[in-house]
This record gives sequence, structure tokens and C-alpha cells, in this order.
Amino acid sequence: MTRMMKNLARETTRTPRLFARRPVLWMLASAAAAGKLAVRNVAAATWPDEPITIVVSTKAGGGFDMMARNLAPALAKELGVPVNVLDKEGGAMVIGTRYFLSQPHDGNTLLVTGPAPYWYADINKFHAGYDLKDFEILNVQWTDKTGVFVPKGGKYQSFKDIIDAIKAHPGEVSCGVVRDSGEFFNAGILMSALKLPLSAIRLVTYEASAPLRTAVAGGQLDFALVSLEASLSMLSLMTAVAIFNDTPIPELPGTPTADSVLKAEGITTTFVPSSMRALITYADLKEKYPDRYARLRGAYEKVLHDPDFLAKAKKQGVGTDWLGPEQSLAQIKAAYAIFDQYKSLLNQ
Amino acid sequence: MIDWQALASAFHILGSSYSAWLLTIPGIALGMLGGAIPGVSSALILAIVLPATLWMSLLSALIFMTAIYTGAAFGVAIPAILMGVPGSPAAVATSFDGYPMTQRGEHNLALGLALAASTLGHMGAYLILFVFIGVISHAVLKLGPLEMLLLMLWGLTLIAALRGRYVSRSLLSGLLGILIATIGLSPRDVIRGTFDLPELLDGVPVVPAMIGLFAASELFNLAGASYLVQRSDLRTVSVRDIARGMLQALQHPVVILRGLIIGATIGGLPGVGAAVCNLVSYAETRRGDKHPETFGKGNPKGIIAAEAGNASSEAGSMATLLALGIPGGASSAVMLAALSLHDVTGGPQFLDASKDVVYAIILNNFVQGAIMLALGLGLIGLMANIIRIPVRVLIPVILVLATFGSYGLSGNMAGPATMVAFGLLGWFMQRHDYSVPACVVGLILGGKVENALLQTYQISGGWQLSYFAGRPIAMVLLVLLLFSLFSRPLMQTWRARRPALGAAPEENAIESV
Repeated sequence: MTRMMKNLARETTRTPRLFARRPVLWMLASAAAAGKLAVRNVAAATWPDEPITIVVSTKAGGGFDMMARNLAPALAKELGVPVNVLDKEGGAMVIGTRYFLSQPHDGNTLLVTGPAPYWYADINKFHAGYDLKDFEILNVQWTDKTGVFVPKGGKYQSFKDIIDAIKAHPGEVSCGVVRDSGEFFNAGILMSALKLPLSAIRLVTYEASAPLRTAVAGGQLDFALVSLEASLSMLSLMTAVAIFNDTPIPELPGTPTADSVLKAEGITTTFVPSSMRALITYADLKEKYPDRYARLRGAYEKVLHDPDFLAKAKKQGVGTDWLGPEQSLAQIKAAYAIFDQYKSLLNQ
Repeated sequence: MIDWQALASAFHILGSSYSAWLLTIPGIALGMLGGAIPGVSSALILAIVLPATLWMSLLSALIFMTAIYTGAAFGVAIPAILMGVPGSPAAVATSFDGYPMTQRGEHNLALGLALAASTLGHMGAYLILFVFIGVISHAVLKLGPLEMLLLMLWGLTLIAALRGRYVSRSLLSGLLGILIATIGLSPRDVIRGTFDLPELLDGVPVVPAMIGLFAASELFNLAGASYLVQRSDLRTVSVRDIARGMLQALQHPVVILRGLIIGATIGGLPGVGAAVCNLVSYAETRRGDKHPETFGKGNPKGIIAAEAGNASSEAGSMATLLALGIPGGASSAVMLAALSLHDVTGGPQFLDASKDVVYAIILNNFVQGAIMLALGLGLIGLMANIIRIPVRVLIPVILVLATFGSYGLSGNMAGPATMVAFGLLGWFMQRHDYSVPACVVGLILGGKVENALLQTYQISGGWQLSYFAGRPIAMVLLVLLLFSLFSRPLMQTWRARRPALGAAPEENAIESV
């Protein structure tokens, strides 16, 4: 009985993915499958021959989802099959990552998630049962920076105002962050640089960046630390007063770096990078299907060098770095080394 | 508030674009059919058609997608009314009075009520959107965690209202629902009640659990019966009765208005949506009514309130999506993706630059309401025949569909497993007079309430009164909530005491003895 169930489950996962989940289309799927069989035998040599799914481990609407949805049509064009995006949010990104791991390791499923810092929390706090070595990080496509945002017309209109207010009235200023994000760490690092306990700000935690940005836009919070580039499309509703980066960015010419403001106060400290958003496949894909791995990596690299794609991504504020697997992994490991120093924040 | 020039331009676009109109009817039909299958949500259908919108113009794509959304909002009511099985949290409140009406043989009437309320809610909310889109989208942003908390508590008070024979057992079922909602990773990152099963880290999947609770409990219950409607003379499909139901809905404009204001304002907030709107609208209508005890037993106003609240939340979510670029839920996130496929980012700039497109979508949605009325009439005429199917055939078909639906939702066996587990629980609860709807309300709202509660605690610096004093909207909501909770018992006490003070003191003296 159990074996039958398992077989059934396995069979269903193998059905072409676009249809497998949709009961309405079951009949359609079986009708299509009959016709498709003949085609597939001819096309078997050329992967991919069925739709590819990008699993996103957050809710729709955030930076991860933006990156995946931006990438999907371009990858589809390059690979010649539809590329679908599936949001599997929840459990601090564990749900999506585990769902991805449970799929057949055949290259037809990809993952967009945050190997740093979210996986760091998953591995060190939630004992999620996976590790960096289970994955092949194709590329860290978008390393966002932390931005300090205030509502339009809010109480504080500069980073210095905020710092002064925190010092003058500890426990009065509210600060929104996404839990376990790079900004969550940075809020803690900022407070320890100011030599104040974390309770000197009202830290308000959100599950994802979209509701956090909504809260800033609505003036619910005094300020928020949010991933910067994914927030640029909402600049008419909130103001960036500082960025956690070595230099100012061209999109926000008048916005100072946090370092420069803190330096004027006589404070120097090192912040962690914001979310790294990466496209990921399985560690064993390279050995099992070397040709598929090469095709996937090639197509993805080509997309990230396509001027049309780059222009479109830029317009939407989506990052388009190409670091490749080796350099990506090195960057993630470097970030993990910093997180190790602030590991205790995870238990806040 | 209305940009007349953009409006004229919107008429022009709509008049010259036949493809947008061609897509409206199939869109509504697709949404309605999909919505009528338990477990298939509008977000699912939208995600399936998303790649196709790449070949449409921006306007056609948005119109097609809103048409699906519109159709699905009504489609979910059909199984909720006919079988007591809401296919999505958006139709939970519809089933409270819809299914009892079906059992009494008033299925035609109930479906007519739902169709009219849905259509009016949809059109009315778009009318609000048409006039106030800029204002409403910004006003919605003013609702912080405290306001959300109060709104959801309002919904949660339904637990006490949805009682069966014993109040205590209903409260217990509501608590059980809330308790189940706490399973998984808490908003404070504490892992609770997962028994180390990674599948439970994100909590119990709500929709399969809900379908299990409702479907299995209802269907097991029916196993002894031969038909959904006991009396064979009532087992008919009557267009006249459906039309009568539609007219009856018109007699309760206040209920509809209340529902559509709730839907149009809070429907677009991230994490609220139709799932909360239909419950809040139902709770409010029930409490404002002279005979609240008739709700849950087949009161037509219950269906009207639920459907108006649920159908109007589409307009609410379109307001935040188009005017702010914020997706309120899964469906509008897919629409946001469609916008980005067309190189458009929603938000104030889009609203300013493309107000004609926004108006065109709104105008088209008025027409969608009319089309939905016609298509819906045909569909419910067809679907109402379910009551003629012997229960022994119906049960396996529904269970199989629901199993596929829950598999589709989770993408693995966790969905069907949850459905079966909750089916058994639902059957047990039903058998022993524990209210299943109360448990579902707890399950749907429990997690949301906890998140809002934590954020309120954090943002107020640990319940500092100065924060609450600066939130006038919240204070109004709180007063309304307290008033609606306690006004009736207080009034009753007052009325009971009044004769004591006035005309008949002796009588009262005897009574009090």
C-alpha cells in the first residue's frame, strides 16, 4: 500500500510540471501527454524538453521573486521551453529550499534564494538539514545593499537625526527589519557600534520585505533597514537617508553612506552585506547530467550578458552580476565568516 | 478626483481595442469554473495563464487577468453553498448560511443571492476605486499593525457567534483552530509543535486543512443520506428561484454597501485579502442584525455579506497594486509579474502616466460585472444539478477532486495527507457538536493575529500608551469592536431594567424574587 502511494507520488511528480499541479488540467495533461510522447522521443537528446520551474523561497513581491520573474522569460527564450516561477515561502526560507531538494535532481527545477544570510540562520539556528555542499550556486546574481529608509514627511529626515534620537530617547524610535536578513544583523551591529543595547530601538520584525516597505511607505515606522535596490521602485513613497556601502550609488546621488555619517560621530564599524540573491541548482547535477549543467550555466551566463535583458533589469532595479559558481561560493563563505562573529544576534 | 481627460481617453482605448473585449468572457468563464473546484485558487489560474499574457497588450493582459479574478471570486461560492465545501478561505463565510439553505432546499435562492451580491460588490467596489483610487490607496497605508490586529480580532469574534448546540464546545473548537495555527515557525522565530517534522515548519497548510475539515466532515455526515436535499420535490433547478434570490439581494443595500467598503479598503492590504474580508463583513452584518441567532442557520443576509466582502476585495487589491505597486496577495503578485513582463512597474508614476489604462481597466470591470451576471446564471443553472446527483456518487467525486486540489496546492503528498487528517478531525468534531466553522476561523486568522500582535507589541515599545493615543483610526475601530461586542447585552440589561424604574415596579419586584 505504502509502496503504491510512493509510486503514485513519484509518477505524479514526473508528469509535465505545468499540468501536474493543476487538477483542472489533468484531463488536458493526459491528452497532451499522448501527443507529446512521440515528439519527446525525437527530442530526447536535446534537454530541456519540458518546462523548467524556478522555486522562490519567499513570498511573491519581494526582491527574490522580482529576480526570478525577471529572469524567467529571458531564460525561457534561451532554453526554448517555458520557465515558471513558483513561490514556496515560509519557515525562514527553509520550506522553499527543502521543497527544491525534494524534486528530482534533473535540472528541471532551479532555486532562487538567499544563501547569505538566510541559509546561515537556517543551518545554524533551525537545523534545516541541508548545507552549502548540497547545492551548486550557479551565480550570486544580486548582492543588495542595506538602505536606511524613512517615510516621506516622517519625524526624522536624515540618518544623523535618527542616531541622535536613538541616543537621546532610548527605546522610543521604531526600526523595521526583515527577520534574519542582512539588515537584521546590521541593526544589531549598528547598536553595538553606538554602544547601546538592542532594546534602545523598537525593533519591529517582518516576514518579508514587501510588507516592511508598505509599512515604511505608510509612515508606520520611524525608519527601516531594507534591501536597497529592490526598494528603488518605491522611492516616491519613502526616502533613502543612508546606504550601507563603500560609496554612494548613482541612483541616489544625494544619499550619504552610513560610514561617512558614523565617522563624523567618531564611530567606525563593519557591516555585513545585505541579501545575496542567487540562482542555484543541485550539487550532483554536474556529475549526473554534465551536458545539462553546461547548457544551463551557458544559457544563464548568456542571458546575463544580453544587452536587452540588462537594460530591462536595470529599469526594474534588479541586479545582474555574473560571478560564476566559484567566485559566488567564495563570497558566500566570506560572508559566513562575518556572521560567525555576530552569531548571538540570531537568538534575539 | 476624476481625471476627465484620461476618462475620455480610456473610452477611446476600450472602443478601439476589440481584443481586450474578446478576452473578457473567456476570462470570467475560466475563473468561475476554476473557482468552483475546491483547491483551485484564482492565483493558480492566473499563474497558468501568465505566460500567455506576454503576447497580449498590457491592457488586454490586465483585463484578461482581472476577468479571471472576477469570475473566481464568484466561482468559489458555488461549492460553498451547494456542498458546504468552500474551495478557498474567501468563501468560508458564504458556506455558513449558504449550505443550510441548500439543505432546506433553497439552493436556487442561495445561489441567486450569492451571484447578485457578488456582482454588486464587485461593481460597487470598482465604482469606489474609480472615484477615489489615489485617495484610497494612500489611506490604506495608514493601517498599521494595531489596526490590522483589531480588524482581525473582529473576524475572530465570529468564533463565539458560530456556535452549535453548546457555546463552550464552539469556543473550544475555535481555540483548537488557533492552536493549530501556531504550529510551525512563529513570527518570533520559535519552532512550535512541529514534532521535528520539517514539513510542518511553515505550519499546517491552511487550505487543504480547511477543505478536509469542511468536506470530509460534511460528506461523512451525508454518507447515510441519499441526496443533498432530502425532499425530492425540492430537488429542482429553478431559474425563477435564482432570479428571486437575485432580487432579494437588492433588498439589502446596507449589507452590500458594508461588505464592499470593507473589501475595497482592507482587501488590498498584504496578508489581509478576501480571506479576511468575507469573515469581517459577515461578522459585522451578523452583529448589526436584529436577529443574530438566525445567522449560520440559513439567513440570506449572511450570504450577501460574505459575497459582497469577498467580491469587492478584488478592487481593493487592484488599488494597492496599480496605485502603489504593492501586491496584496498571491493573485495580485502574479498580476505584478504580468506588469513587469510588459516593462511596467505599478506605483504612483504608473497611475499618473497611465491613468487612462487604469480607467479602462475599471470601466471594463463594470462590464465584467454584467457579463458575470449572465455567465453566472448559466453556470449555476448547470451546477445546481449537483443536488440531483445521488450522494453515493457525489462523495467519491468530491473527495477525489479535493485530493487532487490539495496535492496541487502543496506540490507533494503533504497536501492530501493534511486533508485526510483534518477530514477525520472534522468528522469527529461534527459528530460531537464541536463547531467546524469556528475551528476554521481560528485556523485562518490565528497566525495573522499573532503576527499583528507581535508587531503591535514591538512597535509600541511594549504596550506604551503613547503609541495607542496617536492612532485615532485604531481607537475608532476599538470602540466599534467593543460596542459591537457589548452593546446588545448591555441594551438587553437596560431594557430589562427599564420597566423596573418606570411603570411596573411591583411586577419587577416579583420578577427579581
